[in-house]
Amino acid sequence: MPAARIGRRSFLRSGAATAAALWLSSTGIGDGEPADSPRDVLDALVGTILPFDDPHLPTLAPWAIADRIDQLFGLLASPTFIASLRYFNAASSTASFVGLDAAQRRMYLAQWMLDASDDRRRFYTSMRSVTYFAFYSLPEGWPAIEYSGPLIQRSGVPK
Amino acid sequence: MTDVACDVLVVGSGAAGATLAATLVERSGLHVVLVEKGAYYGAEFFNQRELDMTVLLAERGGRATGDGAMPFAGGACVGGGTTVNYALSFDPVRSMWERWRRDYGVRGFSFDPSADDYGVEGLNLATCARDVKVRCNVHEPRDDEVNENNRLFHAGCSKLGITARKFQLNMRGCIGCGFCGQGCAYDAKRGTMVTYLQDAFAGGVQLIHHCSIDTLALEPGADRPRVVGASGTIAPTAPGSRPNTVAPGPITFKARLVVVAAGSIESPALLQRSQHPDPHDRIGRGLIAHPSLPIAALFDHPIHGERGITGSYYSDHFYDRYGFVLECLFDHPIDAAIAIPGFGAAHYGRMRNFSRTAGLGVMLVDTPNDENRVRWNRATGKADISYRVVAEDKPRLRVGAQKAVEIMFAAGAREVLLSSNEPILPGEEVARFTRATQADACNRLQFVPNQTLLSSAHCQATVKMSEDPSKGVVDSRGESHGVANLIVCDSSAFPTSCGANPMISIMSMARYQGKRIVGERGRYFAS
Repeated sequence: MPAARIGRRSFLRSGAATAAALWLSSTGIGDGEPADSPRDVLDALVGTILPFDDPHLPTLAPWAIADRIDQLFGLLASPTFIASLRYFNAASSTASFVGLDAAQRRMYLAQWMLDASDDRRRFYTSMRSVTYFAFYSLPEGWPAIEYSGPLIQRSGVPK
Repeated sequence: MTDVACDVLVVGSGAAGATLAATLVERSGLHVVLVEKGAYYGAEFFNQRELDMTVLLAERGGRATGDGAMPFAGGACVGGGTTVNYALSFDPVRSMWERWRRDYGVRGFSFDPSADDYGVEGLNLATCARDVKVRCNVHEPRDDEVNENNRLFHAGCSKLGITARKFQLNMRGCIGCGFCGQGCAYDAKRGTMVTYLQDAFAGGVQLIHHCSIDTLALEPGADRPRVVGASGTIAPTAPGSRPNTVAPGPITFKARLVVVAAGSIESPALLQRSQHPDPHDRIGRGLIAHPSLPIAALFDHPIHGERGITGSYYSDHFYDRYGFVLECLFDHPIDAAIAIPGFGAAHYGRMRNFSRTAGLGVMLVDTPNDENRVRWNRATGKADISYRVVAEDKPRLRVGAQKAVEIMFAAGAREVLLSSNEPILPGEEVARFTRATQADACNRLQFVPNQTLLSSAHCQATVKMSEDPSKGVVDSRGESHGVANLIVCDSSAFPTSCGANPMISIMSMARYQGKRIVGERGRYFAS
């Protein structure tokens, strides 16, 4: 597959988060907004994008991948990203994304994937990309997909 | 503050800049300084991990259109794109250069190897392309170097009577590790970092990396401004980089000639932020992307397309009629996961078949459109990229997708996926094909942004070359119409698509311009 690199730090900081923050301000969401924390929403999103109930998936919890996303991309320090999570979480007037069961969460995310709104699709692709970036960069995830990883063993890039 | 004086300042160390710098010092004795915004990572640094190696890429791999829909991959390190590409080497496409002569008044660049363009002995594009191919050891892979992914692509093409050809590759002593895109840890890929940059060093060129050029220094001239240098900033040397030749901090350059070779995103951005005159609103306009659609195919046996030489075969069977090329390529898990559509259990199920998945891409030679463009954004301090597939290109891209699906089924695939969530197949949440007869569903693709993934690794044509200032920013010598002593020499100077993966075309053009500048040195260095 040709290079298809999306969803990294600058992408998200300048992209979906900004767009979502704009809707948030334009739609007046705020009254009656779900009380879930941004971190709850991120954990729930990650838990929908990756099937943690699959026995082949490494024994990782959604929060571990969410931690890694935050570590790699620094998203939870971004007010615009937090605003976009809040908007996403407001699934309906009576329910939050976090409050949905697994099947409902899946359906809700699929709606965003196919939404007519450019910004919703963009949020979906951004979150999907950062999740896969965080997960598939972990060697623990490679055996299940029969990927043997680097041929050379060098320590990580100096920080 | 560091002050540097030189005869020629070359901005950008990629396919163009390094080749040009080396050529300039071959016989001239010119004092050439080559600057690169990125770090100088060498083979000892490349560790074959996708995450770590994003430091080689523009915006750490996040460079994309403003709507986030289309990634624009590019190298942001010494060697530029030649450090992170797949070594795919295509000769300059003669028909494109002929079109540029006709439509843009481009002169020179003779394909006759006996031509002496501009009266410079031996100056012609044919000789320059040959030089480049020899220096970079461009050759076809042997049959025993073709991996299973490429073998399947070839087999599928053969079954359908579709011509498939071997790529030419700039490699020497490749061990087939499959990590071309993350920097070659064995120096087997013959990018500019291990070829022309070394020649440049031998000729006395000074490389300054971690150097962002903030602006070109323009002074009033007799009939137009002239460039006398540039100013910029040296960033602290990144961990893992080879050492720099100057200390971090502000830097100014004085140069008799400035060559901008920063690529099709950064070159127009540099001209724009330097207030380069643009009376016809041409700078950054008409961006060519070579939009590419990834395709994945599931087989019943292990393929391990991530191992071996990544790309060995391509097909230009439909090129003359539809202007696309099918290129057999593969990638590592992060990029594969992003290219494979969907999410949740279905997506993970597909990823669990990673080792049994084959990959290829449809690469379109796209039609120029002024709305596709690059603009320097002073507020964000980066270039904004706008790109949409134009209406007349969509039918051609649909045919490409359809043919790719048919080829994979002919090769024995059980399932074929496009990188798309568009509802083109009833009952499918993503573009998932289970039999060849469904392939005509590709005709329903609309290439909706953030629903179908198209990526670009070949941006071009944002500082077009034309003898007509209303059509181009620079002339056939690469000289700016609006600023004296300024040359642009990289993929941005192509008037439209160069017609193929551009590395060798860019290097050949740079070799040509380097020879020409030396041959016409009185034009630039008279006093």
